[in-house]
Parts: sequence; C-alpha cells; structure tokens
Amino acid sequence: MKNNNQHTQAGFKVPEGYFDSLTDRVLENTQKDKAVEHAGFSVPKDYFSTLEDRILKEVQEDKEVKVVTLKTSKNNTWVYPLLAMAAIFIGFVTINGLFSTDEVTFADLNDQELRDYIVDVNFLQDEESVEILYADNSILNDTEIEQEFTDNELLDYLMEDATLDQIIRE
Amino acid sequence: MSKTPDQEIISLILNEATANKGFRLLVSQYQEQLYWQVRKMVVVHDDADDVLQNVFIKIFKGVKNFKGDSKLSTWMFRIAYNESMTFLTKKGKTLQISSQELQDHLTEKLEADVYFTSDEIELALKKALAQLPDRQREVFNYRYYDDLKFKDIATILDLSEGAVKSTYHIAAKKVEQFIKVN
Repeated sequence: MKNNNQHTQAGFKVPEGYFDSLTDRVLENTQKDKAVEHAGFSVPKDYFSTLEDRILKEVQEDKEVKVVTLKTSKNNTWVYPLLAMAAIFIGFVTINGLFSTDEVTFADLNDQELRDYIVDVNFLQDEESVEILYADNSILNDTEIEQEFTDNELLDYLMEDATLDQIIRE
Repeated sequence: MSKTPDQEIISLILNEATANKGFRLLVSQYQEQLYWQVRKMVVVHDDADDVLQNVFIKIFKGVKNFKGDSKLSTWMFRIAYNESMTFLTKKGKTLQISSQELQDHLTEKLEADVYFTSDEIELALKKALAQLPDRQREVFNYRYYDDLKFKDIATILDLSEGAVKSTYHIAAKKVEQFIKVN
C-alpha cells in the first residue's frame, strides 16, 4: 500500500490492489512463457496468439481461390454472332476436315510423265525407291490396268524402250 | 479455457450456420498440439509454420467426411504426420540429400537456432534421435514427448500396436546407447 501511495503522490495512479496481485500475475506469465517451450524448441513471441487468425485467413483464402466464376454482363450481345461464327466454323471443319484431303493417286499420272520420271531418276541409288520397287508389291497390286494387252505387245514395248528394260534387268 | 468435446466441435462444423465457429474452436483447441508435433519432425520453426497451415487446410477440407473411426485428435495427428513427411521428402530432394543426411543437417542447424534451447541434454537427445530411422524417431517422439498411447501411435503411423511397442523399445535402447557413448 505504501508503494501505491508513493505513485499517487508522484502524480501517477495505479488501480486499487495493483501491487497486491502483481506477484501472482508475474508468476502466471512466467508459467505461460514456459508453456510455449516443448522438447527444447521454442516459438517467436506471440506466435500462438496470432496463429488462430492466420490459419483461419489462410483456410478462407484457399476456399475462395477454388471458386471460379464466369463474368457475365448485360451488354454481351456482341458475343452471340461470334459464337454463331465459331459454331459454323467448327461444323465446317468437322464435316470437311480442316485441310483438303485431295491426294494425287497413281491413276492421275500421265504415262509419259511416269516414263520420264523413271528414266530421270536413278532408282538404284535411292534406297527408299529400291525398297518400294522390291519390297512393297502392293503398289503393283493396287494399280488397275484398264487396257488389255497381249504378251507380244508387251514384249514389243519392252524391246522398244531399252532404257526401261535395262533398269528392270539391273 | 475449458476444452470443448470433439463431438460438439464436429457438430458445429457440420452445420453451415456454425461452421466458422466450430472451425475456430478446433483451431484454438488443437493448434499447439499439432504445431509441436510438426515442429519435432521438421525442426525449423518457419517450416513448421508452413506445414501447419497446410495441415489445417487439409483438416478443413476433410473434417466433413470424418467418420469418427478414431479420435479426432488421432485423425488430425495423422494428417500432420503425412504433411510433415511430404515436406521432409521434398526438402531432401531440393537439397539433393538422403533422409539420414537431412536429419544430420537439421540437427547441425539446431545449435545456431534461436528458437531452440541451449540445454545440452536436449541437444544431445536431438542428435541421438537424428541417428534413428524415420519410423523409430517418430514412435519415440510420440511416446516420449507427447505421451501418446501405443494404440494411438499405431493408428497415426498405420502400424500394429505390437510393432509400435517393439519399435519404441529398440529406439529407446539406441538413444540410451548413443548418449552414453557420446
């Protein structure tokens, strides 16, 4: 009480009974500080007093991040023509394919062009061509020869075209 | 502050109107227990803080499906254990060191850690624990520091009670031997 009076005299005031309970409160706080030590580890001051709010904030933020909303506007009429165009384009691509599928087939080749090609290209130097000629017989099988011809006609043809004959012999 | 029963907390969380209140209660009631559990595994305070945030996010997402097969605290301890192990595995990969080397590395850093006691006995114990295989160290921590029942430790670590008992026995012997020699 003496201390209380002294502080009051110096112009300061303390709540009634402040010094009477001070010892207990100091000891209580010391015990509290001791409680935040565990297995030799300790934590920064006030860590646990702020932890609850930080965790709840973190959990809330995580919850909010997962929500994906599409923005809608009343003035979005311009979107519909674009959507219609996109739908037409997708439909066109689905039916016709994105790129033209026209392919040049063996039947499209002119006889003379084919002959010139065989003469010009050195097949035996080109491994890929040799492979096609000797391994992939499906080319020959798939080729439809519309014109009927006799063995003699074929022989005459081969005799006339010495270059082609030589290529086949080789 | 008096402890709210787990069932009451779960009921509050399951009711949308009281979910926030329930979760706040859950956090305030278990934050310290879970923190120390994580801290003993990851050692560094900042790492423990990061892992703890993830633990509570997982708890928040999963608590609605908690079936009550085990105690709420055991279920949460298991989440904390899994998160801590995932964190340690990632840390080991980042530092390109094995699990054992990581434990040595963490123990070495302890001596300079301002959030670790300067008590020599605690430091010696941590060094001894670092020598143990992960499983033995966890069993020892749960039993020695947290005073958990063998049955609860078995649930957290997904082991049989007998295996936990023998693991603890072996771990305690190794720790004792290490401290005697060193």
